[in-house]
Amino acid sequence: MKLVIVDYGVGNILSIENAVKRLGVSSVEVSREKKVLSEANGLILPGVGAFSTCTDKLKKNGLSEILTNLVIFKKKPILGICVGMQLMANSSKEGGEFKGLGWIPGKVLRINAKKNLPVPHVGWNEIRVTKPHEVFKKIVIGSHFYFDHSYHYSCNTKFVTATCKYGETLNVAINYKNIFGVQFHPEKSDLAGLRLIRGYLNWIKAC
Amino acid sequence: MLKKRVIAVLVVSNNIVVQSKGFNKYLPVGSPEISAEAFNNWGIDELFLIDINASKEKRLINLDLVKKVASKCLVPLTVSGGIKNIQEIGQLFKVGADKVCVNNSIKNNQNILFEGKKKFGRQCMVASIDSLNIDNNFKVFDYFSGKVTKKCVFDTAIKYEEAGAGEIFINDVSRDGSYKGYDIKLANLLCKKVSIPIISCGGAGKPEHIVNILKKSNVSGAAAANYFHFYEHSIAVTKAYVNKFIQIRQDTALLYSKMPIDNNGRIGRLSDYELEEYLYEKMKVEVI
Repeated sequence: MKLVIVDYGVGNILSIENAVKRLGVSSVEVSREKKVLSEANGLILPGVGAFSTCTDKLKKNGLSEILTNLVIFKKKPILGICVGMQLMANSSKEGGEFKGLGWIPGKVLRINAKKNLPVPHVGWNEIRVTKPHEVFKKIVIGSHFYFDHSYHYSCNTKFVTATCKYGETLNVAINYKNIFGVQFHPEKSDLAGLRLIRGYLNWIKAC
Repeated sequence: MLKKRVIAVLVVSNNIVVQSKGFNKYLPVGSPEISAEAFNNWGIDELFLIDINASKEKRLINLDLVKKVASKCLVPLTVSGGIKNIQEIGQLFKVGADKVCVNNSIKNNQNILFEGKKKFGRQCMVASIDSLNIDNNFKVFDYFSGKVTKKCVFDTAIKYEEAGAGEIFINDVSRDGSYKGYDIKLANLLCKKVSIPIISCGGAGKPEHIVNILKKSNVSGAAAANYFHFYEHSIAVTKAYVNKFIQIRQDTALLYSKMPIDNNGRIGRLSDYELEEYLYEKMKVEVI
């Protein structure tokens, strides 16, 4: 099986590569080439940083169209991580109003800081799986994942597969057909993260 | 619920982890890679890698070292040492850092926080402040010159938050390497002034200290360096003890939760009956 991590000049790609390699996936590539991306069995869309920087870089590399074509029309499985998931929304309010890829209808909004909770939401939070999915199959109930974000994905609950509590309830995993997104960093979430990535790899095989 | 973090700091000098005392005495501990790997296996929540000579020698922390440590790290890695501009931050992210921590480069001008926030997002910018307690007046200590400044720690923290810091790493110089426990008063005062997460560092000597700072203040994390280096499974044992008082993440395969642990972090003996039970318990090996 061939896994490709989309490289568009942002994000800590190395840590995702390290995590995937730990699971014994020998064929993992980091690329922005159309040919390599279309030959992949599954994709990972990373993302660290400001939403607008990420969308700018996607556009600059011509990746918006390539990815939309592969994901929406060719139905290639994709896992978006952190901002990589947020990019799938229609728009984001981070530092203004910016357009996203619009794959799963939703808006990226700032976390509403209630009860003197610090923002960004940084650290290990328990997630609650609201809709069972192949990707979560190996996850133990009460598992913690590492979060580091100030904005969250607001969308219809029919797309939501997991939530967590931080003042309000945040959508932390979304899914629509072959598209999966997680707000936390599985590559930085110790064993729980590896279990989730293994779930994604199994799902790719099943797709 | 968001859990508070137990953070290990790898203080590095000449690419070797060192034990630091009062910011002026250093003893060699060992290889950063091996420490990082062990701490990961023992269930640490986050790692800081700090090169204490980089700024003084006007260079960036060794990228090769960061890459090696990152390859052993399955939890977030924050890197600090000689960062002067956002190009260097980009370089660090490329070799596996998840967050960067700046100290010396923001003491006069916080531009790097502003630019870093714009390009990489606030969440990966950590601002570090070295604090010295002088008769309950908290002043910023300048490790570069080795002198205490007139700047107030709290005003400095507010300035850093406004500029774009996503977290504050507060290091108590007066307690560094002292094993006296954290300064809870400093933590509480600071938490009231800023709305971003605070990480307390300096003074941890036993698990009880970590319980105290996490229970009695609103800090998001307790960091320790020296204390974790000198005994086997230190982090797993410490976290098992802390978890009895305040719920923290316990997802590692090393579970000390059933063991009796005293407040110095020493493991007691299980009863003969319990030991006998363990004798016949089959452990299943998990394959992820």
